[in-house]
Amino acid sequence: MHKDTNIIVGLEIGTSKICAAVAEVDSNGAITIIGFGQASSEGVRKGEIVDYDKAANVVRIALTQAEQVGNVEIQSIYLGVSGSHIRAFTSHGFHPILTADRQITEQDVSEVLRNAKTVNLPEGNTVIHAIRQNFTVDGNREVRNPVGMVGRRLEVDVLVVYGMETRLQNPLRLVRDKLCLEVEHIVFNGIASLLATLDVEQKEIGTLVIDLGAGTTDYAVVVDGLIKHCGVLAVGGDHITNDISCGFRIPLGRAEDLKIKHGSAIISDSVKGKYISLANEFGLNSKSISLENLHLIMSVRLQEIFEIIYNDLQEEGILGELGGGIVICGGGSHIPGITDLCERVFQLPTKIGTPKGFGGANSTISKPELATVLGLIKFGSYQNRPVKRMSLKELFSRAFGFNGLLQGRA
Amino acid sequence: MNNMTPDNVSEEAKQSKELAFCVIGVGGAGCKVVSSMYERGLSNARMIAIDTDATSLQGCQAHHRLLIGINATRGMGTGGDPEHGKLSALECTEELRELIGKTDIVFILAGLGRGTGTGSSPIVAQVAKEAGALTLCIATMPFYYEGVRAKCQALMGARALRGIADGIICIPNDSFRKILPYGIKLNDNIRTVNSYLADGVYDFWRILSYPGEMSTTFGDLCSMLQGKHAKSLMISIEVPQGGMAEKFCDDFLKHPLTDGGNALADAQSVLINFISNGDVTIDEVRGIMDFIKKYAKKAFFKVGDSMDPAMNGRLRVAVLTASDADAEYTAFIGRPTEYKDKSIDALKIQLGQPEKEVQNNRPDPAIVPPPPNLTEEEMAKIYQQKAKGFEAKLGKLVQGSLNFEVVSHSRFEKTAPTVHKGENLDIPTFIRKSIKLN
Repeated sequence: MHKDTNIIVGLEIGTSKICAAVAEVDSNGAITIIGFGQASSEGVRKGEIVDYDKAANVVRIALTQAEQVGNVEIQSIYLGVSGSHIRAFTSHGFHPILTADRQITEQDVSEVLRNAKTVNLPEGNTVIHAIRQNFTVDGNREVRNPVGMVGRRLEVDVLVVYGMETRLQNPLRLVRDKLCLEVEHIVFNGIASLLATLDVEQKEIGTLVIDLGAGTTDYAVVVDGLIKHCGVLAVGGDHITNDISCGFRIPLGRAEDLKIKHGSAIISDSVKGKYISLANEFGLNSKSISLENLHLIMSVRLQEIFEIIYNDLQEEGILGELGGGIVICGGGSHIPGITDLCERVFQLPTKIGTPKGFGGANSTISKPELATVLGLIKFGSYQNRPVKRMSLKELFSRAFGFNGLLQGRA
Repeated sequence: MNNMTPDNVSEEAKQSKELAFCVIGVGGAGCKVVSSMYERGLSNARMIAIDTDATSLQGCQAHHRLLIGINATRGMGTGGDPEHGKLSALECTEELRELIGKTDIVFILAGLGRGTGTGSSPIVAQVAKEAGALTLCIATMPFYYEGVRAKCQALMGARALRGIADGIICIPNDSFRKILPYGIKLNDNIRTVNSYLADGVYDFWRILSYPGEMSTTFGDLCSMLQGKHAKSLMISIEVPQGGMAEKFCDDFLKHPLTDGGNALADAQSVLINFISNGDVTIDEVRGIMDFIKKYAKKAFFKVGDSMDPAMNGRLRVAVLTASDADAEYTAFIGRPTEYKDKSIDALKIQLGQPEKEVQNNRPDPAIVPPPPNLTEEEMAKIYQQKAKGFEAKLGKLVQGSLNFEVVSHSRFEKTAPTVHKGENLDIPTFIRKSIKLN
């Protein structure tokens, strides 16, 4: 009925929702979403599983739903991961060309890549992605493909995205042991979101994608079609809700309601002096809440998130390369005024990013909060690998094979 | 005129004209006062110095010196612990009894607040009482700067003494601040206080040794001191002959301890004794009494006179006041309770449970249930039964678990805190940045 190789399933275990998407990829690489399942999350905090059994149930619901809608039997998935433990750094490798004619061969390229990937990670950490950047031949930067060029010294940078092995294993185990599914690859959520929301031009001129999730804020920068940097900040929409709950001394549920119905990332003059009344369980107005304060609480939190990312990018020295500006996705992108606030912090044009380049029920999938799960499918569509059962070790080691992700595709 | 308490009648009756006095200085302060009194020489008084510190005892002048607590403190002092003072004194009760011997009146001088004076003097008082002597304690309360602990210990010592001795005069050291000039050296300060105490004891000795027509007896002394946690004032003013009353009034008001006469305001009893060679006139007495009565309106008065030929025309007026310090006492160590059994053996037993009642700061219950109509054996039986049953119940108690879902207080309780550059980002930003919500 269906061909395994053509079906790609993405699963995101998020803090607020768990969603699974099933897509069909044809021989041209065109992606059509055929199935989708979503369930509100339980047992997940800050992007990581804290209650194994609860989370497993919800994941099962989401996957079952996706199976039913797509009328497929899911066998393997691409799994999105996030969490404060995930970090990225750039590793540098070089290889001297010793042959008489100084011509760079395929072998030299793989040698220099191997050198760059020989990284010294902190104990207990494992690599999620190792993404090759441009080559440098005898100081000549921005070389995309050095094979055939002449040079003495071949250098390459590799962006290594890594995380703590034990914490990465939690969602993996959940999928493999509890649900008996294969995991094709684990993908950092920030990169998945980036893949889903950006078009070719944006990837080339340099864009920052910020995925404002409930538990974490994941971000990734792409320049010249290469992922230059990414990171996780374990602060998200939950924190905003918690702040509101603290500030007004109201239950979290109420705070969440307030955030969604009346929230704003910027304080406009029109809300000054305005109050909204909260009804208690009897329908009586029990508490009045200043809109200005509500917006202030949200504004300072969001501004702080943006500032932390800004400072991180500044340290990396890639702020100047963001010609394409900033794209915000994730549930947090629904907050009114979020782009204005982001523009104010970064001084860069900002827009809301919706998943692009997917066929299918467009209205259902074209939402910024679904960027990650659809990005997983995009990631999967780049991998043309037959399904086979792999050990965990193999899975991690395969991460090293993930080179030039956007090369030739962008 | 003699206000004798019924207990004292038989003792008084036995008393001959020539009384045998014994002045016992307990602890460092007490020994120093005894030293300075020894230099004056009281004809019919024996001076005894008792201390736990061998070194300080060596520098002390007295008829007898007794180092106590050789086992308990090894002659090194108590280190401010009244329990050690108590133990030390209990070691040497036999020697004390021998030293006191047949004495009519025992003055115990002690500085309360530290180890020996506070802990030993009640035992000394008890030994003196058991030896058949009348016992009067003159004790100093510690300076305020010695701290609350010293104050508590002093008040506890004073309470123990009050329960045992016939009378106790407590003089707060702080009151001397007024009679000492500013910038006085520490040594001079202590010497002045000591000589002041010596003066006081000397006056008592004179009052009791040379009774006049309206003599003040030991019973008078004790009756005015009894029943309160007395805070006392001892003032002696000596005036030359001629215009004695006017001169006294002047001097009295000028005296630093009287605070311009205000110190008498809360006095509950005042003892005034005129010491002269007998030529003081009734007009002068009346004048002085009228003057004092103006200041001490509430007080109970006792007037006495003593005939000391050595006064030679001069008049010495000794004023002793006692005021209630119950409020202060209660504030520090709770409601006053007394040792019920004051014998040495009982005190030894009480050492096993040191100062238990002292820690009970709660007031007595408003309603005291009547005692059950049972014999002690029956009561003991009932208590035992209850105890058994309670133990049995305890054995079976098992803490069960409630099968409720635990609702976490915070959204992020189960997670590791998000810390970025030393800041816990889980705490709301507006709180961390102290942004005021208007």
